Amino acid sequence: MKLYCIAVLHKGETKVNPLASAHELSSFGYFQRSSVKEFMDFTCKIVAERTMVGSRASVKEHEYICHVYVRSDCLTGLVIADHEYPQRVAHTLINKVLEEFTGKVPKSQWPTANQSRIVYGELSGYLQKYQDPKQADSMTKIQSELDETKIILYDTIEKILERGEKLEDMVDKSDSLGKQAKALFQVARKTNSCCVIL
Amino acid sequence: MANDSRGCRLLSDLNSAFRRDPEIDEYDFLPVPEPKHNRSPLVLQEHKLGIESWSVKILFQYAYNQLIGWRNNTPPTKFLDPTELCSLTRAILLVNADCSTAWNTRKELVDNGDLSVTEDLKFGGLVLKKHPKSPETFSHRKWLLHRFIDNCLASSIGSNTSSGSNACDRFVNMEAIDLNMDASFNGPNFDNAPDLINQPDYNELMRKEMNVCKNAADNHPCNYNAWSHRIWVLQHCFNCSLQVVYGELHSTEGWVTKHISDHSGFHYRQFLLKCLSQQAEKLSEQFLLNYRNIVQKEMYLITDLIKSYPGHEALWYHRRYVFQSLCESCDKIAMETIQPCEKSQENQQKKTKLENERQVLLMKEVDSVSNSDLAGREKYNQQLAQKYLDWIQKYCRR
Repeated sequence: MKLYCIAVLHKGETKVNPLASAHELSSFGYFQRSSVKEFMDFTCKIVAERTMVGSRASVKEHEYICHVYVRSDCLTGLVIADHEYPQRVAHTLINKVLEEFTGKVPKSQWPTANQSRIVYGELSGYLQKYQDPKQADSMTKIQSELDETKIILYDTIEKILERGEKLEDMVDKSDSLGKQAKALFQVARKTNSCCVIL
Repeated sequence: MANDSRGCRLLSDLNSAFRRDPEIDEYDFLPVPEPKHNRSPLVLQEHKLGIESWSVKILFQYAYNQLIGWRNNTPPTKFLDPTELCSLTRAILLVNADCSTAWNTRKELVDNGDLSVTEDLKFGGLVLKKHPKSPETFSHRKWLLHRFIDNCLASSIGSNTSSGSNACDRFVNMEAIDLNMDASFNGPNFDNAPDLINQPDYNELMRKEMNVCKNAADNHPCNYNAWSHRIWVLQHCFNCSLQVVYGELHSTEGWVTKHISDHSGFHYRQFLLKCLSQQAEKLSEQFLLNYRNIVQKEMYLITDLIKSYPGHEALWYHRRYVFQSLCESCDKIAMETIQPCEKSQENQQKKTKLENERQVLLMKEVDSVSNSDLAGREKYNQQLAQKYLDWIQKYCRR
């Protein structure tokens, strides 16, 4: 039962702007960690791009799930977890993070701010704390607001892609994925395994 | 052949890496399909070894052909010294952990004293990092552990250690345990042997072995091979000592709580509970622990997990086992206190009372599952709950 990543982005009209993120990579092989991190960030970006404003989704791929909520003001929260991690807790965590982030960084900065300039240190603390979903009991107020029936479920990441879009092409053309990450993707494809979403 | 000389160089690079860092604890193949420069494909950082993927096949084929050539007595590989054999088998097994020929060659090296048991156990641990399910690796470990036990017994028989009768008290009759994974070996004869389990070196090595099992289980979901090896170690190296079994029950509780869909983890707990049930008298006499209470506690654990994490089959299946154990424990008490043929009123009353108890147990369980929030709101979990109820109905009729 693991949490791998929490991310906050702004979903603009033409582009998605990453604002904050934290990753837990210790369960991955030493040499894979940097590629896995790049993949997680890449996945967050494309999932955010393809999720409608004001909606929630959980996108499954192999044994990983990417949970996403695009708030009506376009602030987007994502959590990448394994299939055992309770969906409800993941979405509650997203809500909490978005609420807190809103208080820390003014809205005007969201579309253009550079991630390296933003200070949101609590995020990595949450990633550690909520490895145990029972910790979420302290978020009961936020939990009760969550209406689970409105979370759209996708079996594979391909389900959220537009017609004609192919993962291989997206990976190939991406600027944010390094050479090693792209090579890892090829290997994962061949062995039908996951390089952590995508 | 060009590949032969490349293979030779690669093997030599690999050997230097291990020489430079004897504490390598992890390795991986890096996704580099073509050699880009004329440098070694090996990367060594913080005790982690990386091997560029283009070189793996060349290295493996070279090492494998050398080994087979030696085994078939074909010149020029007729004469290979133990060090060379060690490094060839190491290269082979890092790539293909299930190459029996390589493991068996290492057995010969251990027998000849060219390779120590602890050294080979350490190497096997490294292999399991990349191949956490490898059956041949686990099988080889059992052989190594046998060797270690034999060596310990041989060296302590000559010295002044605890007397036979004392040792007997701590050990259990192996026949009582029917989950023997290794049919050909029935465990060392501990009856008149010195007290091995409490020797610090022995204990430490076996504890390390349990840790290897745990890490392998962490690295691969439902790693049956790792868990059944762990069971084997309990049986053959700890003799299912109550203290160790109870300790394992305690220490794996956290693990299964974090791996709720791992059937093998729960199966291990079922084995532990079974061990405790078979030694229930000793459990209460020596440790003042009541078996029935332990099972009840397990029931609370599984109930809590089902409520917190709906929709996981492994939890419901574990519940079946726990409930069954509760019923059996009830039945056992019944059998001990009732004389089936005696028709006295007292006896009949006892019989009725205990039959009622069993009925109550069943009814309470059915009630629990159908009326409480155990089935929950999630559809899949409700289906699992229904299947469980169906199973209970069938179980009742037996």
